Amino acid sequence: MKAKLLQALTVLVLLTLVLSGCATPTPTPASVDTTSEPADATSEPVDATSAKPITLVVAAWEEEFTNEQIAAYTALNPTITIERIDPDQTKLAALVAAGTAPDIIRASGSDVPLFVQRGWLMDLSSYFNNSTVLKVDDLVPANSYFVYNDVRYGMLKDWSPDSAFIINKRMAEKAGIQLPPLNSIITYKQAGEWAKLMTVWDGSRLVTAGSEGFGSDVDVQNVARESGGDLYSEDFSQAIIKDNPVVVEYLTWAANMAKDGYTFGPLNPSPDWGVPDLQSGAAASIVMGYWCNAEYAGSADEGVEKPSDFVMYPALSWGGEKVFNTSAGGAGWMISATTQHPDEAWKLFEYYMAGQPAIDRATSGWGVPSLKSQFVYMEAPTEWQQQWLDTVNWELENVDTTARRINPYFSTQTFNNIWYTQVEQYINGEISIEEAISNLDTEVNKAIDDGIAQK
Amino acid sequence: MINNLVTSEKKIKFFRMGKRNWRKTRWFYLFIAPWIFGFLAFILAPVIVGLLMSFSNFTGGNFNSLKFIGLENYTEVFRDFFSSGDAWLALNRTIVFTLLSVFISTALSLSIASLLTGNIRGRTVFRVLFYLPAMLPLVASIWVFRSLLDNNVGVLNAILDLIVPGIHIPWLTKQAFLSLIIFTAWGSLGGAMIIYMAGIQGIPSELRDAAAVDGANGLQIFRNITMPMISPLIMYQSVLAIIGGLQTLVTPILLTPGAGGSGSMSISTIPVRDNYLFMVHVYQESFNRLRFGYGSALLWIMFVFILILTFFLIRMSKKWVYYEVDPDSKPGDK
Repeated sequence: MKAKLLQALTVLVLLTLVLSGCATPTPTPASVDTTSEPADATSEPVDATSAKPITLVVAAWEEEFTNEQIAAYTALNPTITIERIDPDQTKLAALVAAGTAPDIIRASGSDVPLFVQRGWLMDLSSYFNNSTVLKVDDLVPANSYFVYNDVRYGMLKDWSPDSAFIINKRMAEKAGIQLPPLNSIITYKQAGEWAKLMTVWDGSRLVTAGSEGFGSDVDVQNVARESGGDLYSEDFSQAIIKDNPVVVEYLTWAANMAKDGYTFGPLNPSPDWGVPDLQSGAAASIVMGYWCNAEYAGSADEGVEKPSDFVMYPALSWGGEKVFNTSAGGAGWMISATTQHPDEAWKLFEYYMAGQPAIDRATSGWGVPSLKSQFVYMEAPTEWQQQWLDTVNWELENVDTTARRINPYFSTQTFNNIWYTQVEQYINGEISIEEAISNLDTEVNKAIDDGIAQK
Repeated sequence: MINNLVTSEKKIKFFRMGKRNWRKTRWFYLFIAPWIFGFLAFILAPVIVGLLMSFSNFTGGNFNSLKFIGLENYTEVFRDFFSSGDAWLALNRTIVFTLLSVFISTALSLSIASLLTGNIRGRTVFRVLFYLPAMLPLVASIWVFRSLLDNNVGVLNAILDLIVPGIHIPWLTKQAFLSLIIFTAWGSLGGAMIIYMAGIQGIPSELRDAAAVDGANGLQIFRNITMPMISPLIMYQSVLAIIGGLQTLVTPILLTPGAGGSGSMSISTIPVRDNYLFMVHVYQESFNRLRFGYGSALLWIMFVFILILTFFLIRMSKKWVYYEVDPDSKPGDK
């Protein structure tokens, strides 16, 4: 009997040892180094009340929140361990559904209303009001993405007015196009005519598309705003598409550009996407933002076409009188509504948004800083980058860059997926353009109704 | 009194037996415990949660307003099926895709297995080459296929252009369904081929020799001996391929992404209409529109459909599958 008891105890002890060996070692409070000096105000160690070791899970891409930045922060805050995971939307939805949402969420500004609607985000208004480094007055207007019903949920890490028109000067000259002076207002139809001249077909192979493509939700929002309306009703319960003649005219034009083979489309997709397509010569013009100057600068010798030939103009206009660049492309950080460590998460948020990582981003050229006070860090090392920076500054002063209104009941990806599906059927001759637009209207409104019903 | 004593004795015996049995079997239970735990936590529990989700308005984060909505999601699914919308298109395309891909894949793998069990020079090399696609990661294979089949910069069109100048077939758009079938057949060829080869090699050679002595030619031997003898394997392989075909998700999205996903390999994009399969619809509804309840209802309907189909196929197999013993017979039956 005793021997059996001894056997059982031995097994139990061994099992305990094995299991404890498997567990992740965590530093005890006694081992925490509290003597480290903070590098600046934003990376100060969190206060004594939170000296207990914790782990913050941050959903951010590695290239945006680097291991070096993590190491720098945790060196100053040894009680905090940061676990970075990829901010994949599907993964995020699954994590939230499972009740294990990351503490900090990185997402596009356009996703914020949907996240708010789903109850995923924490109200950061009081944190912003009390912060000494992140002041509301210092935030650029595009941060309005993160304000929903007067509540602030986050901020952009950086951004750019993303509907700028970028054209390959060499290809334009080759096609006999006389480009207008910089910062001129160019209409969509004018850009379309240029696209026709620059498109190159080799038999049934599209060698160069005159333009990457039109008809995204952002373009539709710009055109709708130009018409004096908006894509959505005041309460977001309805999408106004087929009842806005300007939008109908624009969508018809965009679909025909794809159908006639002057842009990529559902049945003739681009081999890559806008930025590399311009560089490889697959597209002669694209609608994109300031941020990609850094992409081109970093790979200037890799492409067939040279970035010095890429001229940036302000966003296109439908009527030719007013210009709206409502895209405000950019991603930011938010804090999860279910975080167990809101104060620690906010400290890290401050460090990322106003500390060294923010300065690094501003100097990199990857976007316009989210804080006005950091504009001074923007650099333009080459002549063509200076031209791009001048255009951005001109847009910030002369163009309405108020961020487009994002419908909280459905995602912009859904809008685009529905539209591409309709264009495909239109190009195949299965439906007329009127039916395509009517179906877009019906499907988008159904998606909104579904979103409202699930509220 | 005597009765009571007998009963007590039986009880004692039972417990003693129980203890003895437990001693005998405890290691068995201990060893399978991790699997049982894994099954309960990672298979059974998610299945039950999925079932509950299909009766709810769950959108991924609406825990505060989560409510039971009965059969509403199921009603909507059937309404969508009958309204000729995306759900109907997806079901339609999936059935056609599954039937075609299973038929082509079975025919090809069976033919190649027959050839490679014969005396062909360099058959080991061919076996390796045909099995190789089964070892490649799916996304890598898709990437390679896209490079081969791209409308404008694809290798295949470049080769065709050398033969017939100016010809460029839009493999990934207008021929998207064909490309999907070819890719699926290519990818599933190796696994099925190995199984069929094992089956063919297991057929006693006397049967074929006897048939040859009787004057049967190669085709007759294949039809009357090889096919019946490996029919249980064809049945098994077909059922698995049909289930796999009905559950296809990633391939059409990444291989033929249409305009929305040009260049990028993103699961959020939508494939061209011809390749809008059922699981793509489930994915769109669940993760793009965040209708997890509706998406779960779609999945449960597919589950029931697969269950009925499998049951039907197994029942039907009695008519064409050759079993050396009657599958319905019981031990001792004559």
